[in-house]
Amino acid sequence: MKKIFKITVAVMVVMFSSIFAMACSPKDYYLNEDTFFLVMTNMLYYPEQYEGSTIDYDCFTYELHDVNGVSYICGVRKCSSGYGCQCGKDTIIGFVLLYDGDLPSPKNQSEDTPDKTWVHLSGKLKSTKKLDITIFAYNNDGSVDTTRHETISMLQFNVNTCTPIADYSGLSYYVTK
Amino acid sequence: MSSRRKQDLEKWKKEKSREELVWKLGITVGIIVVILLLMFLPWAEVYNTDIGGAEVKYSGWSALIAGISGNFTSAESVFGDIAVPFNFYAGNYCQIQCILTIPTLILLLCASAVAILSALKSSKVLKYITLGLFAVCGVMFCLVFLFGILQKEGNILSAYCGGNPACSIKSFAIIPAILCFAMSGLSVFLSKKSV
Repeated sequence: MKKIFKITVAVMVVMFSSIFAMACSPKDYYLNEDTFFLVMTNMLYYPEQYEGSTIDYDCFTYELHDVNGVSYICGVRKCSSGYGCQCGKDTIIGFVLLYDGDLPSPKNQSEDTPDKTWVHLSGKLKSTKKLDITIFAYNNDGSVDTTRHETISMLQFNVNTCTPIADYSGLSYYVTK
Repeated sequence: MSSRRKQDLEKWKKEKSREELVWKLGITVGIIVVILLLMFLPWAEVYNTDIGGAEVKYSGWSALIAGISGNFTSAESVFGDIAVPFNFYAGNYCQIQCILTIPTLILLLCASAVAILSALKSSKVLKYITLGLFAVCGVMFCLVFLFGILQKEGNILSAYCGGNPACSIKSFAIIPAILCFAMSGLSVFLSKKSV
């Protein structure tokens, strides 16, 4: 009886310790194919818990134009509609990029192909405040409707390093939960 | 009665007693294991008929880990979909459910220990303690179920279901509740008979 009790207590101590260890795990994030969508979405909902953390992720560059003609280069992947996913002509999930150097220009923008300008980015969130970008809405056939607007809210990302990726075959162009 | 017959009778009684102990312990431990396995079921899920299944969900074990760690905003897979959408849209109910899972599991483990002891020893006291503990455990699981369902009071369904009125929030925590009540009733028969 005493032995069973000791074993039970030992098992519970190990269980609770590992749970606490998980809660206190390192704060930097390296997004991979399994975690990209979930962590990106989580960042949109709880940006404060990622503030100050170094985030590494692979994405392709994408250009957004607002209704005033201002351009934003984003680091994104394609996604389905739903939480975390931004609308517009192409449903995308990612950040607006801020970089001192030159970011590679997007390729095959809005074409449904993984042949894009892929890059590996490392950096941190600029702030927890999302940037609201007002774009022209799209009709079902993909044409621009200048009479209607949509608002996309994205976090801004301060890029420390930007490395082009030549071989993107192992990367998912389209990410889901 | 001859001494040989007495010895045979004693031997038979011991074997019967051992057999009874084996099947009573077996049933007791079996039900307890099933209840623990049932914690892998969704404690809350958004069921969308458009996709014919659960859009998002988290298990009882995820709820337990979130409750113990106090972390309701992590994207780690061990937490299921607690962070988004459940905690984001229905934080109060979600967090209460997760935290409530802790004493529920502790009570279940205590009830299990007493039930096993009751099967081994003949004690009216142990029998009724087992009955009481499992009954309270059943009530706790009912509360866990309730807070799972109450998450529909948040905006989860309007955010996730694209206007589908057949979309709903389900919780399977009621199943371990039912088993706990069953165990409470069975405990009277599974305890060792007094000599």
